[in-house]
Amino acid sequence: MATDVVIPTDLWDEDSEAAITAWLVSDGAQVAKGQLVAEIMVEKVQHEVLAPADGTIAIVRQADEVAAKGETIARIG
Amino acid sequence: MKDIRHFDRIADALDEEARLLALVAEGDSDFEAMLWTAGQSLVAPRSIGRLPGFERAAKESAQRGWPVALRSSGGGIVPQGPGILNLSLVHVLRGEDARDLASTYRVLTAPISRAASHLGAVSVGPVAGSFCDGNYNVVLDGRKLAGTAQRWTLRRDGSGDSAVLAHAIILCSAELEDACRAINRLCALSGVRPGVRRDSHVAGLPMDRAAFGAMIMPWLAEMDRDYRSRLALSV
Repeated sequence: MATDVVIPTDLWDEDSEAAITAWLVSDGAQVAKGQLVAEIMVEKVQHEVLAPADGTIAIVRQADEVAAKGETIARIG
Repeated sequence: MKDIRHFDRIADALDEEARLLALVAEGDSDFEAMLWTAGQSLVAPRSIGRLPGFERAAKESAQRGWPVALRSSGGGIVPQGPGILNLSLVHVLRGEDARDLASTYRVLTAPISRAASHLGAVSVGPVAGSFCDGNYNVVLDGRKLAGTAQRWTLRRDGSGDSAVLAHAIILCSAELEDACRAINRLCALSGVRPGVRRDSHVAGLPMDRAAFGAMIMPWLAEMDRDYRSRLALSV
């Protein structure tokens, strides 16, 4: 079963959307739980997105796209 | 911290910021502050570095005396060079404090605002036409005095606390005409819409950057003491 990689909901209080500034792994790469996989930015604050599970990552939202809290940006299966 | 550090190469300054952030992330320090300057250059986000026209644009910029370094954070292109002072603060954010962006920006903008308060009307907010604009610029009489940004990383101790690198670029006595032109040229050649205007930024302070830095230092020392005492109380 795939695990969603989502924009964290608990990093900031405001409703501001985040821009995906960089993917640090390639689409289809093997990732480990807790690995830094992406960087996002909101209000010029850069945050880290960690892999929630081990597996193969499928990127669904590309760098420079904007996403809201809780939105899925990749899946790990 | 007693001195303003100078880095000839902006890449060395970015490496030092990363080292300080790692110190706090690893739990080897709870608070670090650095006032610094760098040689003339432009610093661009990695997203601009991915554009097809960037490589040629960066080469052309370097030939004109504005070498370009890429940074890991987002935002826009910023200049470095004579008249520009940087403040980097690295500190811990306890889990429940870590979500209020306005509060974390206040930690960074407060010492700059205090130092500038006798020079005119100081506020915090966006300034149209300024480089790397955001909602947390320090604004002096309606013009951008300082731009700000942050980078957060989880501390490695599994506590859920964050280490924060907060950075401000302060326009003390910069002759910004050339810098704005260099930014707009790099944008245009890279395929990004240029839109930086000189008159959106302060025209220059009645002091040099060393003098302005000296005005900030006491506030940093106080912040260091307060911060350590707050942390001591919270553990």
